[in-house]
Amino acid sequence: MTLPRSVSLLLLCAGAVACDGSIGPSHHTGGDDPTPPATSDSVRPAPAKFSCDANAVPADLPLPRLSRTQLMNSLRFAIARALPNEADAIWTKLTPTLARYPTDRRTPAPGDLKGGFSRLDQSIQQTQIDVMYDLGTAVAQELTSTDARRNTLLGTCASDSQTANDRACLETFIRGWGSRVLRYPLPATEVTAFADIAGATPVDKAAVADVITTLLNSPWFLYRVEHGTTASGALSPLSAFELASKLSYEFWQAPPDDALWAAATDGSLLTASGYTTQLERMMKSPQLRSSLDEFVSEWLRLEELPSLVALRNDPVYQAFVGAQMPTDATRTAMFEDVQLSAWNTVASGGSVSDFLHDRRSYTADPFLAAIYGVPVWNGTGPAPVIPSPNRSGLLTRAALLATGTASTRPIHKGYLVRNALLCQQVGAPPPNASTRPPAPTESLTTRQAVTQLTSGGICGGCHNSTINPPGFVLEGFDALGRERSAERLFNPQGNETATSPVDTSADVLLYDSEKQVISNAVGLSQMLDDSHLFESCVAQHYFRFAHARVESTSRDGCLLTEMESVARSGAPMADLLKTVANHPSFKQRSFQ
Amino acid sequence: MSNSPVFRWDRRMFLRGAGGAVLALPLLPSLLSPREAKAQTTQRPKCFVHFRTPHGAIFGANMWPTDAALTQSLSYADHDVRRGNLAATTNASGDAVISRVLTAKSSVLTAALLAKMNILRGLDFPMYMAHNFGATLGYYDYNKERPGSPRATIDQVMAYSPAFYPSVASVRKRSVAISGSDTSSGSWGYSTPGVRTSGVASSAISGTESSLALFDTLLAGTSSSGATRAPVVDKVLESYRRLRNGNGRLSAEDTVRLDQHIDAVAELQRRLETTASAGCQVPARPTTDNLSLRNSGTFGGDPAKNVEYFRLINEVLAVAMNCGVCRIATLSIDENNQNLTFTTRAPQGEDWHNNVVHPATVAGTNQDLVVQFNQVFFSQVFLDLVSRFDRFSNGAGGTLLDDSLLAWAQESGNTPHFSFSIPVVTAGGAGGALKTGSYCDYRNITRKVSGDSSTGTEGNFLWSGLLYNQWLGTALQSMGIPKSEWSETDHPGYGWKTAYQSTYEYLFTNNGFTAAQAYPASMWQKTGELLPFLSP
Repeated sequence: MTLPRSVSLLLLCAGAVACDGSIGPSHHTGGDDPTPPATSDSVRPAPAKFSCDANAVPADLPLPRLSRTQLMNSLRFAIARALPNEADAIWTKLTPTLARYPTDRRTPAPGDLKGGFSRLDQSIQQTQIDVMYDLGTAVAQELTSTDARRNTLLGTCASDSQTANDRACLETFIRGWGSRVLRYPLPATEVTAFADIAGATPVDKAAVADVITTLLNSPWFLYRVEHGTTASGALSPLSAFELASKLSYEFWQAPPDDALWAAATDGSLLTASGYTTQLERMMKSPQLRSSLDEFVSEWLRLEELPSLVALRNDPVYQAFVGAQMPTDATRTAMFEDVQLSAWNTVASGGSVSDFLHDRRSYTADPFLAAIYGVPVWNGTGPAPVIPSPNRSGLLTRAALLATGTASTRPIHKGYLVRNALLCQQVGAPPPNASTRPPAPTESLTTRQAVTQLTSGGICGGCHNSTINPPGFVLEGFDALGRERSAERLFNPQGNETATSPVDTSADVLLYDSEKQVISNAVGLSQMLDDSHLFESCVAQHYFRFAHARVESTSRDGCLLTEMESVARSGAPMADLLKTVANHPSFKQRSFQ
Repeated sequence: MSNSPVFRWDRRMFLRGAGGAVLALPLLPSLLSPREAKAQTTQRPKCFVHFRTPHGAIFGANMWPTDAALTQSLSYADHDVRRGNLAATTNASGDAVISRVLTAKSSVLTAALLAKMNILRGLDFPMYMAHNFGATLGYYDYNKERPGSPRATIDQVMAYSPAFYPSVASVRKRSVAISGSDTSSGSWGYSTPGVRTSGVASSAISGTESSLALFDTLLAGTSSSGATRAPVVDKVLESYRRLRNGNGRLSAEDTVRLDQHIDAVAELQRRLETTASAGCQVPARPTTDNLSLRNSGTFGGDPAKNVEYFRLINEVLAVAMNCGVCRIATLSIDENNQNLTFTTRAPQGEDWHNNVVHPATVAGTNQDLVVQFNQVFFSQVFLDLVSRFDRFSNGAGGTLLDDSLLAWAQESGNTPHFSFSIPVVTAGGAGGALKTGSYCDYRNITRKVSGDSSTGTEGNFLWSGLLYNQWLGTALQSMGIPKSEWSETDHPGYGWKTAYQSTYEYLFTNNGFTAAQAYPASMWQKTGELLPFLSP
């Protein structure tokens, strides 16, 4: 099965996160947005989660393999650099072969039941090698399919009447295109090695194709090779080109562009000001969205939202949805709404806290816009602010509320809040757990059904105190994300049998004894924010995403502490991203 | 849906083509001494194919024959195990019926085919498993998590065993894993393929879903004239070696990863330089891909199209295995990812799991749907491949099926998530290594275990049995894999010697005994043996 199931299980608590140290509270509100309803007393900020051991050597990822997304972007780059005017057509033609390249698998971090980032899949598999060879061959054949294309690649030296210049012609191509594709200036020995592949007919189309195939299957293409710049010592500074690649894949999921390449070439990237210039440029580029979207989607497990149309023939779902059925486009729009919120937060200088509280709607989908009660947004100008004061921001975005069914799944939401938003681990389900999400009946509301199933026995301790409360607070929104004050109940034939007021009040224990009665999403959002656990959790998740590995709290504590501090401080969210790039560990390689 | 084959066959294609050692005129077994006949048999290459279907949850009464079919008893490990001859009756529709699920056209499920099959009841994962992808092949991934002590799955142990592939000269791929693109194949290898000491890889083997891609990988070019340009994979390999052995600084872990990649490129090189043996009749490249079928709007909820999706794969697999270009395949079926249920009720997200499978623990419409899923799969997917194998001559008076082991196992036993009596259905005698024609029941009928609120009425029909590890070891032995390549230090068989999690101990203690008593040390000491009744 691929869709989430464990979240619908009854769960046992394994305990909350362990924390030490402390940091002062601070948070910012969302700019000129309407002020959300006031809440009761604030919870105290939780102690900082991470601590720094200045003597610890940060861990490092050995020979990082490009993720599938990064590899695809690199292939597009290679094609576009060779034949810019025909790149799109060639890319389309390659689609069947591209589809065969394996998907990176997401594995939950130790102790988590769900989640994980695809970048963390660093496995080396036979299928990757097999398909990449086919891809390299296919790209090479396309780039050299005609004399005209070959001539575009190599220049007039390939088509003139002379043969004496053919080898030099090919070597020039390798030195130019090849270096950019492999992301470092190819030394003469490598140029010679690649040129030798062409044999006695250096500019023959098939011979050039062989060279391209080999270049695209080079370790320098598939991996980020980092030799560092010193011959000894546990740590070695990265070279300018290694650093350029690291930056570019980190933030753009793509190879260095011309400006970054130039900064590596002239050495300015290794200066403080040059580095800052490039980093700032990259942070402001729309290309940042590529990595930001992936981070947000995987962190918030957006793919867990099932199809909104799969149950279109189910009478209960039909009755629940009403006259207009959502489409798959609406589901996609729900994802984009969250992604664009993150992007807008970063681009506008908003903080992590602002992202949590962002109440703007970012959708051109009429169905979703109607859910939010706003006009569609065409992507330019300020996005409309959702008028309802009960929409608190992230927690009330449709992507986190919709379930693809007529049931709201409070257990699922409670687990998401605990695990993804607060980084609290919840144990495995007990042996006799039902895997059927409790659903409302003709006479029981969702909350009543969940309570009936989970409040007693060994389930109750965990569900009552940990899992269910955040989900219950969000019962003010139905399974499509529509605001509601009452829940409509149906019989299996889809006939409405009752309407019952929703109860959104719950005792929410965040950590230690920090507990509040919360009755709406706004209050829950504020509580998460006030605790600073949300901010710490964002920092922890972003660390994993950025480094393509799970943190070592002992070795990575210094960077994690900085990231946590930035996230909690109310500084721009962009600063959280930049903290990674500005940390000394980013610019060096561990050879321990 | 068209029933016409994608491949066109001529008479010669029914003769075993390559595969290895059978190109000489076959000797009649009667002309050989028993030892010589056995030797000849064991020299023929074997094939292994494994299907995994999701959920299980088939009532025992719907999956198995009645107890009356069990005519023989044997004391084994700590309890009596039973068997009977595998037989089918013919119903009013002319179908051959072993059970509701094991029903197929009598023209397919013939007496001759029954004699080549086994159905195995009472094989237990030795831990509570919940959802898993790899358990049926030996990766005990409780709730899809990494096992506490992971093992490479048996298909991968086979794939890199010199005993299974003494020569890979004509082998395009040592194994193929078929699965949806966004789901686990359930097949796990070593970090360095074939090297046990390197540990189990962190990710499952990437699956292939497209039947056309499978064709291209296994069969394209095997019968070409050789006029195409030589591959440059050797140059790729050189580029890795230059980095590996050059002056640039690398960490020890960098080098390990480079070595892994180099091994994989070398494997690719070997595949690309492989040509099928003479006599291998490779059909023209099919014009239909199963992916285009799956992507059609009406695929979900259309059993005929669901079957066709696999038939397109089966056609490629059968030809490839007959040619010997690949002799191991695993197929991991996932109804959501592949959007199929073999019924008119489409998966609809979690609907099939939540609203069909779990409620199917009591008799009624939902159990009927589960039965239909599995009956259609058995009769039209599993037996389709079995029949294809049985149509190829092995050149020694038998068929490719006789030299192979095709197996179908399920994610769970007769109730969802539970690990008791994982159904195993097999076809083929693995070149004489397995006795066939049996319905074997390994349950300990004195050890009834406890169901709970999730197991419905079927929870009254749960027993512990023998260890699933022993079945996996049996499969390995039948394929000729030496025990030295897979036996364990803490038991003589294959796989993780795990134990029931303490929180699930109540399944046993509710009935007055413990999990350790249900799976005693004496039973673990039997894991290196062939399962009872299967020794030839």
